[in-house]
Amino acid sequence: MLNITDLHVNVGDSQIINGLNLRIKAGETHAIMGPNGAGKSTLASTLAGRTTFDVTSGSVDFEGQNLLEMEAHERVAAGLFLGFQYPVEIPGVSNLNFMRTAMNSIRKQLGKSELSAGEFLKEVRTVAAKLDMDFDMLKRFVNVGFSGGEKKRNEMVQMAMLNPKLAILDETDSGLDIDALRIVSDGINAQRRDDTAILMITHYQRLLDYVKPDFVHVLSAGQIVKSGGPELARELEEKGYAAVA
Amino acid sequence: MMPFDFIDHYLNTASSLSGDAVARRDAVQAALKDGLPTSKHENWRYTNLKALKSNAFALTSVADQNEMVIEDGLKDVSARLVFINGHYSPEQSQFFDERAKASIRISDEYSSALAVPDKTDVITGMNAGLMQAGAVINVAENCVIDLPISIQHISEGADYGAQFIRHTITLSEGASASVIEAFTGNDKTYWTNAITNIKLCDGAQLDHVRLSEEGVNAVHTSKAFVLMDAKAKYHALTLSLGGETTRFESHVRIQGEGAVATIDGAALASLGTSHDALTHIDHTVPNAHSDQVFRTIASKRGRTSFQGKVTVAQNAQKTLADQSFRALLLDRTGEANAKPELEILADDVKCSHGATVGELDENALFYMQSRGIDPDTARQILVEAFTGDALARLSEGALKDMLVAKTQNWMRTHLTSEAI
Ligand SMILES: Nc1ncnc2c1ncn2[C@@H]1O[C@H](COP(=O)(O)OP(=O)(O)OP(=O)(O)O)[C@@H](O)[C@H]1O
Ligand SMILES: [Mg+2]
Repeated sequence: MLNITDLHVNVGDSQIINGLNLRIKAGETHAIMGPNGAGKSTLASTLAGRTTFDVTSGSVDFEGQNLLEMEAHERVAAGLFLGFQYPVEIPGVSNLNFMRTAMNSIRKQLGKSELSAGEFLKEVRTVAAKLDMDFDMLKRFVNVGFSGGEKKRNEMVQMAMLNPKLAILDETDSGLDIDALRIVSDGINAQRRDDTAILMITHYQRLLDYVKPDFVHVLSAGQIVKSGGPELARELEEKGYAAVA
Repeated sequence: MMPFDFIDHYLNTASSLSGDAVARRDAVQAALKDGLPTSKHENWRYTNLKALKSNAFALTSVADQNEMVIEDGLKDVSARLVFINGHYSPEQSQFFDERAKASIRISDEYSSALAVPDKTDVITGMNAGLMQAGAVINVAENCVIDLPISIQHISEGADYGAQFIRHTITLSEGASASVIEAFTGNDKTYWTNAITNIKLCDGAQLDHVRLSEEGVNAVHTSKAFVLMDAKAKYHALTLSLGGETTRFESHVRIQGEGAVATIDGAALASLGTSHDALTHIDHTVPNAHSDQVFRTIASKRGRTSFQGKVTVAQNAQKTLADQSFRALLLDRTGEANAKPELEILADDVKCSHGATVGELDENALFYMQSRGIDPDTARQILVEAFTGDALARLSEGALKDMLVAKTQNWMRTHLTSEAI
């Protein structure tokens, strides 16, 4: 599904991603761990199409397409989703309006007709209920005044609505209380199918107890320095990055 | 000696108008003795009136209306008053509501009366002397006119027409009405000089919208003078979408306790146009409230400005006066200027003002794009949300829908990537 080869990414003059390789197949769940500032969010944003990050060399193939040639919104229509580490507040734009515009923009790109207001509302109500998100929160401005955990849950509502092929989840677990973590994990697990893949970025074993990854990678100084199974996460938790990677 | 030739012309024109010819001439002469204001005048720092100095300017004349179709975008109004080239058009105007009909007459008589004095301003003085026509709206005690009174001003003249319009609105005790003044025109060089004199008696309520969709070469200067008695409510919205230069002034004097004035405005500037707002809220009594929300957008050499003055008299204790101006510059060539001014002589008051000039939030744009929304749409949504603050107070309904649609339409034509 996703094939990253020798990726180099700069921000301004400094190189953040430094010859990174990663291959994710349909049906797989991957976790990336790594110290602060290693470049995890940079990788995620680069894959999502943020233009402030400058790809200086390497290639990324997504479902047979050259991902790096696509604009951010086109990547979403192709099936890629990024759950933000820091979801953005948009004053003046209601969550419902935002999501409906997003879904219809994607449908338009795919040559499908717009969702009616009724169809959309029915779907969003079902999804929000599953993620234990109050319908009133959907009427509020996007993320404005949401608590840290509420913002992350809102990301999961958006993921479920957009139903991506590949979901990249950047620290979706941080800031969640114990109950919310379980709810969000259920949301991620529901998104795991034979035809989808998940890439989770996390600092904590806790999430991986709920969403069991097939592969765990350590990202350090812009490279994947070690890969393994779920046991690698435990080892990291016990010994720290310095000892393991 | 007059400093500019064009003044002679205006003087000659004044005496040809109806009403007291001498008074009209004197008014123009007095107004123009120092010429048009320049950027050296404090109140005119940001508005350039050079275009008006052309000798060629002449009063507009009655237009041929045979082919004209007037469209104000409002299905339900209590009355539709149509002024073409500064002249009232009985053929195009319509009354749908008996109360509105009983409340409105049309006048072309000279009047220098102002609800709030503005003696020194040239533009105001010229309007007194050269006024061609206007509506006189008197709403009787406790009379409620629910549907808007729509006043359409259309400029369909030749180059260098100047139209002088002067409306008077008086709401007696407990009366309530809503008035929209819309200005449109062709692409000739012309000047609209409009004044609206407003008196709101105890407990009266007025919603007052001014909309400029003037032609691309037009200069629009309009001023509202508002006098408020106790518990009166005045809600104003100015929406500046057109004209080469559009300038809205609002001069509000609160002389009755418990009055509430909400003065909002949005201006969208692009392609070298200039959109200015100047307000002065004068609190002369205790326990009154004023609040102002102005939002402007500037792209492609567009310029916007806001000069907001609040004065609070020594005895005007417990005054609440807030003011918020925010501007978005969509590219490096856009310009925004803000000059808040507070003169507070009372000690027990709550007054605030804020002015910020910023750019579109890149993070929000990327966030939207990362949900599948294309950059043009994302930009439009953000801009609309931004200007939406200024329209938020307008009550829901057809009038608001129409104004929102007009701002959206402006954005579609000016903010797509091809346009930028
Ligand atoms: N826009 C930017 N401008 C300058 N430096 C940046 C920018 N974005 C990221 N960086 C730098 O790139 C490096 C990697 O940042 P990144 O956010 O990818 O780290 P991370 O692995 O996600 O860390 P964390 O675990 O703390 O979230 C950091 O040194 C950061 O300061
Ligand atoms: Mg990060």
